[in-house]
Amino acid sequence: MENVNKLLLPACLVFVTTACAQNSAQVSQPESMQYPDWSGQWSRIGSLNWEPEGYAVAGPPPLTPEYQARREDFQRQRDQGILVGDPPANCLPPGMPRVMTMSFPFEIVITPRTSYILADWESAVRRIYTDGRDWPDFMLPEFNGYSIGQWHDENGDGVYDMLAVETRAIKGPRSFDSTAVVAHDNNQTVVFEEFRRIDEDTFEDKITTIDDALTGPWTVQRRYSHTPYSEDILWVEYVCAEGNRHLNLGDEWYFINKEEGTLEPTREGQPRLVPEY
Amino acid sequence: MKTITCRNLLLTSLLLFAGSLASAHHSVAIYDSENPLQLTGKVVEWQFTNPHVFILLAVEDESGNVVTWNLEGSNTSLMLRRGWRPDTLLPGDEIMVKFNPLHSGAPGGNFREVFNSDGTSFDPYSKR
Repeated sequence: MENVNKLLLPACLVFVTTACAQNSAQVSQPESMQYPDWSGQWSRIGSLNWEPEGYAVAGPPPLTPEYQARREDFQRQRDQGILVGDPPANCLPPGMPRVMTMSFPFEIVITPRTSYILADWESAVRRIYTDGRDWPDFMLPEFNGYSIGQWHDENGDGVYDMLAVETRAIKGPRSFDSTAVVAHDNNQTVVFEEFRRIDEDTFEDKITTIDDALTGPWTVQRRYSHTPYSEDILWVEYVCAEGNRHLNLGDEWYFINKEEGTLEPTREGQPRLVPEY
Repeated sequence: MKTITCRNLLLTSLLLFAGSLASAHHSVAIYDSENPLQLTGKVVEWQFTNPHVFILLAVEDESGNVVTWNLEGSNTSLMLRRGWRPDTLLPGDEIMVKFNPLHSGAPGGNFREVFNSDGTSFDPYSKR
């Protein structure tokens, strides 16, 4: 929490300053403004690492020494076949901000009061409230958190073109990606986003994450390619519990052999578990 | 049934899913990617499910014992875009599979490629 407090203030200032600067570009009253067309299907461009270029290009994630050591420990365990540091591996949702890596395509639905991000991954839904509300006194932590957004008209043409979003109350455990870069156990993560359609075919989410596992705010620019609406667009339901075979019991991970009713070992020397009645 | 082969979908699929059938949205650390294996056997069941599809493959070992391997693949989203369907593999189909085995040595793995039993490339569209 200490890091969050230190980092939240400057990040908030950046967010507010940006928002104010962008407000000044608005040429119309909100009721006369038009909303952008962000319809169709959007699909991830780039790596599944949190850095879209991948860590091999972008450099290592900005982890504190404690969380860097934790990552290295997780990686040592993984080398033995233990599936640590990746909560979605046994069906927890990716949560924020990881869901925005968008393993699978997503759709954006805009209404004046709320915008929705509908992700095929985990059939996740993000609600972004744009009705002018303030943060409620109580927010039940959820994996995708509680998001409040504000529309901006950066080029002053009367059509909103940027949605600034802040997300709080994010539940854990979470990781940034599947490489054992995990969010802090205290779940005090705050995420700031700027959504823009940067050209006809490309959508961008500039994401700044503040988390006590990090040495400072971590900004990435995730981009997505466009498929215009058509009857051929394919959306695929995703229910992780349907076919999940990975089970975590205490410190051990097992591979579920449904057909034989056993838990198979995933690492050398681990006993196979056969139910006894 | 509508054929899902439009240009945009193909482009999207290529962008999204460049790589093998085992492209994963979570870690595959339980599998040994350094020591891939290859087995030929008969399909017991083809499970077209998320988070991952599975081939249950009956393989006869050197002693004549039949062992069923649980071979995990990619997800339905990718497989659909590559032409796979819930009935692409049927019980009794003879196939060859290349996969990364469990580190533990248990009969399971993460399949990378599927071939016809003679080693030729398997075309999921040929089954439709």
